[in-house]
Amino acid sequence: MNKKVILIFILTIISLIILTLFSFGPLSIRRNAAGINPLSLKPIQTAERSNVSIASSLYRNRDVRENYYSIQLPQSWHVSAGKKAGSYAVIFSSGNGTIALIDVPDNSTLELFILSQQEPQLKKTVLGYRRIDYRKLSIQGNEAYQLTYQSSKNKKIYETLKTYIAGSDQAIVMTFTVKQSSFNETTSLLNSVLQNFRWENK
Amino acid sequence: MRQIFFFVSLIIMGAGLYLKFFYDVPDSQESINFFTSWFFIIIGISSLLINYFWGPPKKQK
Repeated sequence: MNKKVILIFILTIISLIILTLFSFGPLSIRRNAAGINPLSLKPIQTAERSNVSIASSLYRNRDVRENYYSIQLPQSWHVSAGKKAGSYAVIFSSGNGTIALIDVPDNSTLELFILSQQEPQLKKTVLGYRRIDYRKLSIQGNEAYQLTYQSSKNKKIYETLKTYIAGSDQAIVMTFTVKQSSFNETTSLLNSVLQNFRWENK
Repeated sequence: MRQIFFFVSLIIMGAGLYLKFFYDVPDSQESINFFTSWFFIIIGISSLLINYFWGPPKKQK
């Protein structure tokens, strides 16, 4: 064995150790955190909603390449970064919600993905899951599906509006959960939030 | 024998490049994909280099 082969062998071992640290070790946190763009949390413009007349802020999300989007959220909502890049967590007076990117496998359609994977998963994980409605929508010209379901937590009943909007790469899923008693009065506001969603790289 | 080793190395590197650039990674499996793709690429490249440099030093005329 010559010196060059020994050197390549040693370099390979070192590279694999570094790779393991970057994949699963302490350095992996830094790699994942780098995806969240702090500008995504800064509202860049305020606007008055025409149909609900509530002041809102425009958020432009630039976290995940090929999946840039903008969304208008009411100024009264508390908006924070979600767990993953490209996501938000929101809290409002009558409930809370999340806006997140979701990867739909290439060998499936969005509708098939929802019905065959997402809903069975909800049935398993959400306490007292009961489907109320499922419909196909068009949001800003994008194919969208809306699932409305009921759940229970601490003896209280909640209703959730879960909307999937197809994109060119990933899809966006917006989940808003409110108490059953205030669901009907919140629906128009939630729908106006949905209608103001736009993919920016389409 | 060296040719077989060369082709196997190429296949391993090709598999790594496929996983890195063309494979549609499901949610929550990004770390596994990151590790596997780079693992194959590193092993493939080092196998090719070892294959190239392996053997007795060439005699100078």
